[in-house]
Amino acid sequence: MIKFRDGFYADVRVETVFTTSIKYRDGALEESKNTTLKKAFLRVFDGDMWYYASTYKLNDLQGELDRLYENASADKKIADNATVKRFEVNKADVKKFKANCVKNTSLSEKAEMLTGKFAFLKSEHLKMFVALYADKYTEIEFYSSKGAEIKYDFQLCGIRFNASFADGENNFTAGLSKSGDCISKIHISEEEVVSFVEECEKFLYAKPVTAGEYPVILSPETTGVFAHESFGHKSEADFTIGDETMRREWAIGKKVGSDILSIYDSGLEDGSGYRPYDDEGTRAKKTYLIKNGVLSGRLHSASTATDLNEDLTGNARAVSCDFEPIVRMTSTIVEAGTLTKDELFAGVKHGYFIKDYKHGSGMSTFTIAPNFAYEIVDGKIGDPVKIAVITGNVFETLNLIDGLSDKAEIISSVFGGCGKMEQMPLHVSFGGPYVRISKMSVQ
Amino acid sequence: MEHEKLTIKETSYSVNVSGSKVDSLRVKQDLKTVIRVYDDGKIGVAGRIGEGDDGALFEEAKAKLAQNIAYPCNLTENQKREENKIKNIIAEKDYVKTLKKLIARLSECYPDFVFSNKINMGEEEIVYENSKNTKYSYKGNEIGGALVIKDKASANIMDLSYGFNKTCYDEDKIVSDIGKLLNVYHKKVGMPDGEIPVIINAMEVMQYVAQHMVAELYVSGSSLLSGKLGEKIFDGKVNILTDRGQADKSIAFFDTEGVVNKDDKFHFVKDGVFTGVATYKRSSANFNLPLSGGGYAPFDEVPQTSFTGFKAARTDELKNLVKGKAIYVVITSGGDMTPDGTLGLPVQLAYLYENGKLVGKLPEFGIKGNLFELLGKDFIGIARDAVFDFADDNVLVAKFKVNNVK
Repeated sequence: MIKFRDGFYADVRVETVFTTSIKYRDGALEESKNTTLKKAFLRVFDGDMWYYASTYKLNDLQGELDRLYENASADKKIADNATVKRFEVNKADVKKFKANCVKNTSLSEKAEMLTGKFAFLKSEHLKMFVALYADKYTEIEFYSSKGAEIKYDFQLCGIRFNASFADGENNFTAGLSKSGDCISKIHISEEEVVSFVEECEKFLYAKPVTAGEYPVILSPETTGVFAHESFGHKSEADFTIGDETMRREWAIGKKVGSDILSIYDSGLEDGSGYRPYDDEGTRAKKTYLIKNGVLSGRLHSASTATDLNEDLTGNARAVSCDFEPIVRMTSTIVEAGTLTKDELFAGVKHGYFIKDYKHGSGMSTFTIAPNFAYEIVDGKIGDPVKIAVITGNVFETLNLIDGLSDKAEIISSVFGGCGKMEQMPLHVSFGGPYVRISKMSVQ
Repeated sequence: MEHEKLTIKETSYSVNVSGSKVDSLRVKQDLKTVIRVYDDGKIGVAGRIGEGDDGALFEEAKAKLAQNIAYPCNLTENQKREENKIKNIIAEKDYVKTLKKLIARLSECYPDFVFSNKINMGEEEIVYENSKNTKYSYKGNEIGGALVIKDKASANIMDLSYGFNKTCYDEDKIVSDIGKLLNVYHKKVGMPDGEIPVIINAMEVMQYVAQHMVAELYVSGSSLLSGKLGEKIFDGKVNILTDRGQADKSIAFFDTEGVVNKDDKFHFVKDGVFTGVATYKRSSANFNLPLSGGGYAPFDEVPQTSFTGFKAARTDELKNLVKGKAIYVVITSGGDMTPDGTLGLPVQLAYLYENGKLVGKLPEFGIKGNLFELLGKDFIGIARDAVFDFADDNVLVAKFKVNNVK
């Protein structure tokens, strides 16, 4: 039992993480392991500074906490501190994944999900393939000096086939993957593998593009990256601390995008962004970042919510017990519109369809580097093209969205995640409908 | 049955800067022990966090042999070496105070800007030992800063950054370096006419070279470099290597598998000739290629390839490579390379460089070039980034195509 001292706010987060990793290269097993790790992260706040410790010494948590107290200075009025007052005091035990926990499936059963598809990874131009299975089941315990006592779990699993093709000087590498919060959701069919190989073969001979500005249609997957990179990061309120310009420029109620655009973030969606509580013990909420083109909210930790005098949103997250929680996204989604997919494409005379992404980034300019991209001619998907990167100014592009399809998809991934400063990869999910942007730079 | 054991002990102190104020101190301690056993062409790996019973860990690794993961047993024999590179960077008790002073000074010197992010100081002790009478040990420490800087008048979440990784600390030089970026930040200049050289952090381009030097990709035939071993692929002044002996960096002289290179270096490209690919013990044995010393396994994984200590060697001083004007790239973000080797890099911040100094901020643009041409006919050289005194990354100087000028 942890003993908290008067004059300070403190909390303790203990994580038990079970992971599986299986890897085959060209059919030969290279990795097959389960690992369980348990670590703790402790925080003490004295009203001025935060003092953190990351430790594996779980039998000495009290000692670790006491050492943090020694560095800090007691404040008799700490309970009146605006940040401390904001911390929620939740008591809960939310174990959602006990019944379908990835721990209940054997390594050999997990491996079979990969090996069963090897026969379909066939092509005279296939030079190498890597097949991956990964899962992660996490149990969290959280206790605070205000009385919070929370236990919850979350999990994620996925499979991926990376394949490299070459024909003379032409080469192409891409991946086929599926992730979800239980094993029943990550099955990849034989037909999907065959179709992936056929598409990769076409991309060996993809034609180059002439760099310039074109209309672009984003798939639900790339729409998600767009939402995450173009606006999600700008909604993380830690970027506004001590910055009057940011507060003025990003005032709630300001028109920031096209009327048809609404983006929200929520830790309640199933998938890789699911977190019923954040790492400060705040209950997850749905937060509209943009509603009908108007800035409607932003993402907070207790500290940033205090700084801006706004409500907590449940977005203080840490990658692991090696780090302190900072403001991060969970599931960031563009809401669906009204057009059918065909109607959306019909509006493009000549442009490009960005089907997937290798990576994306977002500052004043955001970027998406695609694997699979196609030319659009007279409203129809045409030839495969080689595009290194598409870019757009965030402020301009949000206003250039002129069409949304009528169905949104949410994409999860156990492979990779979001990077922010030193903490990566953090599992998030994102998605939306097909999105048409009237002008983006393509190179 | 043979075995090897790796012990990694790490301690780090990290301050967070938020809104130009140091608001937290994080202390982190880690102790990892990994045992790998080899028997009958197979490997078994087990890892532990914290103290514990090595006998039990050995038995756990032995049990993992049943996974049937093929792996060569090629342990280094009868070698002993230890290296202690610990330096007095900042006393732990003074860490917060020292960095509060730095941030206060930056705020005072550059009042139009907001500073944030982390400054970490870490120490590591790594011991490798095996059943073939080899023991290596390494101790080192380093301080690393990645300050995010924002113009107070801007609505961006960040505008520029300043980073360093060193085995020493010099407040005056850090303040002076940052001044070189900020003192001319508000002076806007136009993109100069004609073709002028581009100066860019060498790793922005070398990371793509590295991707295509991984043994498995090379042998598969799908690397841009496949089939070119032994050929001259780049300008004769280009040397690309791993160097674990870099004096101002904390890098262990051995990899996770106890491989030590001659003179702690392994050349991938020597004088423009492609001389080696990145390997670890499995890929080296499978493809009969020399060991590059790139074995990497942060915990209980089966080892794989890494590029620890990777760098492009300097060819000259920057002042000799650029006479007059050049484009000095500070931030690119989200670029990539197409399968034919064409690099496209969106440049989010660049300065005009003239006679050794940054003279003003350029508009946003993109740069493009083919990898073989950037390190071939368009290659000018690689130099220490002489714009700065403290940060000391290498920069590539080459003729890129400039496009999409905003």
